[in-house]
Amino acid sequence: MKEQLAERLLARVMNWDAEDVAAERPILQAMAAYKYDEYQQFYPGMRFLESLALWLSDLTDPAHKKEAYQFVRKRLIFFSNAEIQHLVSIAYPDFIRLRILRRAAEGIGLNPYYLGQVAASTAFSVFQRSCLFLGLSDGARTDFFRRCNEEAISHEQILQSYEITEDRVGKLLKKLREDLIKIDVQLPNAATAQFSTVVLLDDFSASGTSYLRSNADGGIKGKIHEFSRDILNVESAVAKLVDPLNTRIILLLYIATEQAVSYLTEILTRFWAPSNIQFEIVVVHLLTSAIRIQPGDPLEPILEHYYDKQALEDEHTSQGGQGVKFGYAGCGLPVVLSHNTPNNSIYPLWARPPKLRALFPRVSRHKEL
Amino acid sequence: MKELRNPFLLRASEHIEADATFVRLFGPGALELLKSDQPFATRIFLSAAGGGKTSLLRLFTPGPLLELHKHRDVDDYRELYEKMQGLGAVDENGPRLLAVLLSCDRGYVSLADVGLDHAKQTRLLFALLDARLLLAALRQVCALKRLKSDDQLRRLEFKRLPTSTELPGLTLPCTGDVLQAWAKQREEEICAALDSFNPEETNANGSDGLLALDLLKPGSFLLDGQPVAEHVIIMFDDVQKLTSLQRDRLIRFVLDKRSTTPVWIAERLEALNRDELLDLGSIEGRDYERVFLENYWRGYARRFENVVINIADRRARDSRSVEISHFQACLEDSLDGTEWEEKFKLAISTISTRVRAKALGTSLFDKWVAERDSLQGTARERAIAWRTLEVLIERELRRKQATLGFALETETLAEKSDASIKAAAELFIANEFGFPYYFGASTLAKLSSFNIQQFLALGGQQFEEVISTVVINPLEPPMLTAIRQEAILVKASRAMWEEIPRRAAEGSRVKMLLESIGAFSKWYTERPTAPNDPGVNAIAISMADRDRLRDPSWLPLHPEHRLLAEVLASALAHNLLDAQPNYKCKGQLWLVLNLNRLLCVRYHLPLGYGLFKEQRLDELVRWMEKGFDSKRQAEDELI
Repeated sequence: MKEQLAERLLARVMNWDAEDVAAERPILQAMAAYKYDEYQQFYPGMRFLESLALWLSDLTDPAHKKEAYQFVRKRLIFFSNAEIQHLVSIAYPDFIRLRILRRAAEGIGLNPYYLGQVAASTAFSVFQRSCLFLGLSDGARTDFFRRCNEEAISHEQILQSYEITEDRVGKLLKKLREDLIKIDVQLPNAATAQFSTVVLLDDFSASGTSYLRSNADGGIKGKIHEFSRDILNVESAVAKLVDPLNTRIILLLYIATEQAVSYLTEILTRFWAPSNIQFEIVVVHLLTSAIRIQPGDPLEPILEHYYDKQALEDEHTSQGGQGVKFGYAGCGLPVVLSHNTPNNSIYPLWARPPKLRALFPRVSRHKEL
Repeated sequence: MKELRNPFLLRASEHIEADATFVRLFGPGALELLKSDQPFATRIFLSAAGGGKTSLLRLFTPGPLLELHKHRDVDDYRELYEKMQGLGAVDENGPRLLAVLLSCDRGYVSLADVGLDHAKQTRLLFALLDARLLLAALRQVCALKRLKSDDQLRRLEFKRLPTSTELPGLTLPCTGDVLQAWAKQREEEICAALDSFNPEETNANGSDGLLALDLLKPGSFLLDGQPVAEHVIIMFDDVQKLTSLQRDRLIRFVLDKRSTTPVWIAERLEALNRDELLDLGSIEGRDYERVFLENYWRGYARRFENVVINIADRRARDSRSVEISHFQACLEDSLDGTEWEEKFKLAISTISTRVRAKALGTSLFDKWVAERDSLQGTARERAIAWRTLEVLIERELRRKQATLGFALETETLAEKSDASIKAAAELFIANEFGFPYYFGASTLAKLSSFNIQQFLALGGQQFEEVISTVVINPLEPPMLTAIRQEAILVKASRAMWEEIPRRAAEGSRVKMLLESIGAFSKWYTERPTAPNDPGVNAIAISMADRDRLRDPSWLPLHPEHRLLAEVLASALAHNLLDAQPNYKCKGQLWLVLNLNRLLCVRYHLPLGYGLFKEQRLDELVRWMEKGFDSKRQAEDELI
């Protein structure tokens, strides 16, 4: 669709006069050019303006159109690729490095505010080299993370996945021990050293359930469960990488909601307490609960009116414990990521026809067969 | 690249990256500013932000000159080319001028922050300016002669002229690459001194003055043995970014030097101190030309209107959203259409009833009323005629001198119904019956208060709505109604008022004083007899009072006047007030202080010039502190 046609359709759908068009069009064009057109599920002829016009045209009630449009203008949160890359780029220097500095300061008995002295210490170099970074999904962007931190972190500290082969474990440990001796030839036990910190990286968490959750049958599932099982299983090769009692595990999320942090804090405490594993959840950009769309919100009539259970729910969405009227697990997010829309966002953003099409079409992880 | 929707939004010259776009959008009429026997004489260009200084300077630099020469046969460029040819900047063979443009927005202020004494600071400033001017000259020569890489600088020879002074560490003549290396090193030495912990002990040598004025001459640069340009000019832009000491030393040196290399200095009004601001416009008799842009255009209002409408046409043509060749044609400029007829007839009915009531009991106005009853013309014209009559009857009724009771003649009515009173009547009708008053391209030009950026901002808002009408209905001709034009202007005026406290020093007081001037003007304009027709939109203080505001012996004794002077200077610096000094009226000389025309919209004031009422300093102080009180004013007048 040509952009001008989309604009005309939008003006007609919204019943705008020239004054409204003059006020809204520059903003919409700027928003589209600045961010929204880069959404990876758009395609030529169907960019933001076209999608917005068609999406609003699906809403039958003029009041719904107005409310939905205001939502897009004022409340929608779109993380562009550049913004996510920025979060990745500051994750180590602004978040993890500070923790390593603090740990090194404790180790050598220095005032943790003497940052220059601590950073120049051998202890810091040892702690920094003994830190292992593992991606929990391709959203972890370990390639970009590695390039951003080339000066501080070696390639043998960053892995795309938490599922590590035995061969790889051997190589990681060999290289770690060689490097530690280079840093400090007198380092005790360098020949048997293990990683002292493991940082699990991921891009986005809304509910936290994909990391760890209880099944209906009482079992536990999730990525962190799998990782934990490996490091606690002495038969596993991965267990050789760390000493669970002396290793600090950091779950580093580039973007996460308060809901996810709260859920994960509670469930990980319960999960790891018996094994005495020390952990911390670090969020680079926290989404506060204030952004959530919850029952009673002005958008609720729209969520009620166009909800299509058949088109939107399946066996995967049911794991969230409720329907997806407010998004998966009732997260009620107004969030779109440049590569996809999380299903934790309110469903009109990623809906499926016939009742309502998506403003930002979503690619599902679970393919329907 | 996204298509350009609204080219009016490309405001500042700095934001139009491509020289071709810049030249295409440049309004040739702006060159009127240079009308003189010596277009390239030393000048100081002054204006508020957006007056068009940077655009003017940029036009003479190599990129735009080359573009202009390349497109000299294209319609859109021809007029500008011919004007530039007339000035001697370009001819059939290409650019003839080497303009060395240097922005002062490059950290010169930090020279003042490192604790050096004034003398040393000034010497380093001159040395740094020299180094950067020479580097800029090399860049401009390369651009002018299309030298693509630094390797080609060897083809350039920098000659030693009889006027040349010695540059420390450089022997002339030299090649371009040697000059570049020397200038870079000099710049680095001075910057290193600034970065050092002890700049007092720096080895960087300063300079007694701008050596570049002696070095940059038409024959200084030779490319393959040939001079690169017939004229050389040095341009300093954004001089307001310097400290007042730096600015003072630079300007004084340039003016004292009287170099044969002309220098253009462009600075915003905010660079001027309080006394200079209060002296704006009194510039006759200087041995250099100081061009205060807004002031200049006020003297040639019609020309300014043509200039900005030409700029608007160029911008409108550049839009990819809509095909418009004349912006003016998109703005409704008359209320004579049938859609207004009924409303005007209603106005005629109301006004004529009032007139008859006023004329009741006297035969004095019988012929005048009969004349209006028989008047032909559009409903709008008749409504204005009736409202004019009402004002004239009010004036007659309030005359202290008794009449003989004979009916006044229709010839007298015709004589008294001049353009000014008709303009007042039109304003009264608009205010009373809700007709739009601020519409049409000519009004838009007036509302810009002779500031091009202000014009583009207002025009941009109107153009946005014009192109929006095309989005909604592509088959309709793009046209903005008078009502919508006025609504947009009212909104823009409100925004300007709201911005005052954030924009100007002493912002709250400035706003209070301006609001008082506006409220007073409205109060005075709306009097039934329409004195000073068509109304008032300015105040004036006597030049004697103006001198008091600049008098160092007066101000300490009158701190309230010092504050008033500060507030007036702040308003002048931001183009919220526009000063006309030495205005002759009633046998006295006055400093007229005009409200920025966009500010007038809020108070429904007329937009002409010379519409002022005299005020005393103490009254202005009261307005500044407490606001204008119409009751008090009325009582004062009774007394």
